[in-house]
Amino acid sequence: MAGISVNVSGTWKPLASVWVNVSGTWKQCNVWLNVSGTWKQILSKFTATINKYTTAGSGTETIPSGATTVVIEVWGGGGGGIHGSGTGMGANNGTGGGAGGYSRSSYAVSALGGAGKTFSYTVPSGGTGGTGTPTAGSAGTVTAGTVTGFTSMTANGGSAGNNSSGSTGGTASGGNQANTTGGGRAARDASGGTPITGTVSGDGSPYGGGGAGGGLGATSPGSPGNTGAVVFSYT
Amino acid sequence: MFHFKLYEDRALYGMTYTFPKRGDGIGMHDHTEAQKHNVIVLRGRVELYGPDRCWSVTLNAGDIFILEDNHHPHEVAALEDNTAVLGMFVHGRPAGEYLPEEDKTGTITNRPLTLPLKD
Repeated sequence: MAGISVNVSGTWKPLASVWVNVSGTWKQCNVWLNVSGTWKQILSKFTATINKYTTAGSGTETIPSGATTVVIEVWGGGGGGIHGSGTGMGANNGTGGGAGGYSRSSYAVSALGGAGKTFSYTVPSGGTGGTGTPTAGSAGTVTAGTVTGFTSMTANGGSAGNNSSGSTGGTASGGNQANTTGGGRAARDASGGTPITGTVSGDGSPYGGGGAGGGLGATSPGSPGNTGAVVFSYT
Repeated sequence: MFHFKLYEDRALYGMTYTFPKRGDGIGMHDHTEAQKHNVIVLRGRVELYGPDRCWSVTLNAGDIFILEDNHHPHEVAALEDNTAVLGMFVHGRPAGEYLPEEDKTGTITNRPLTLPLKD
């Protein structure tokens, strides 16, 4: 698709979007050009885009051209559930892991420096379960790459299940809309910690739930915690 | 609630269960074949029963009850204060089962009875 450029103080820059005021309301629109009798679209209005990252690891996110706002959500990893204990009629179930924390921010793209600017993110892993010592979920983060005016976000992982003290959900910080602690479990409550619901659905969301505790008996394994996530929603 | 303590002597493997108060017990549960047991009443009196009391037996101190396959799942309720029973594993220690120290004795409070006492 061809594009439109505008000269800003002697420098040509691509025009990302065109807005018109319709009865007092600004609306983004497509731009078409008639070239020798054939209409060609040279600029599309921005289509809402959601980029979900649900596999543990790190990466870079680039603000797409045409976006005007971005909502960023981060979930910490769920803690692993611990195995059950005892044997026979003295058997007892294990404790579920805590859910990861949740942080959400919303920014105008212009306040971040505009399209093409970047974030760095880390998708956290869930903790391990099994019949050994379970582990906590790791933290999910979003930090500034080349964007400006951005506050780093952290969603901590939930704790592993503990048959004496239970489990606790991960805390969160840096969000300008929400910073919510994940659900924890009392000792011997075998269900996994309840994850925090965000603005997206499907694909395994809500993310970062705690792993279930083991069933009755020392040989009944706990379940691993769920992976957290990082989601960028553009409009 | 109830207290439990492992009893192990060479091929013998079992657990003692103590119920401080009448109405204490061990909620409905089942066992793998390796963990099947009989019940010996050491003191006091208990009722063993299946879901909705589809079967029920009252045992007194000195009684031995052999749990057959049709006695699973089951629940145990103390009918007197300070009742104690011994559950002997009929196959001995389950293969590969080596309990950590914290699982050899303790107290369980989260397995309530599913039915009210019979009498």
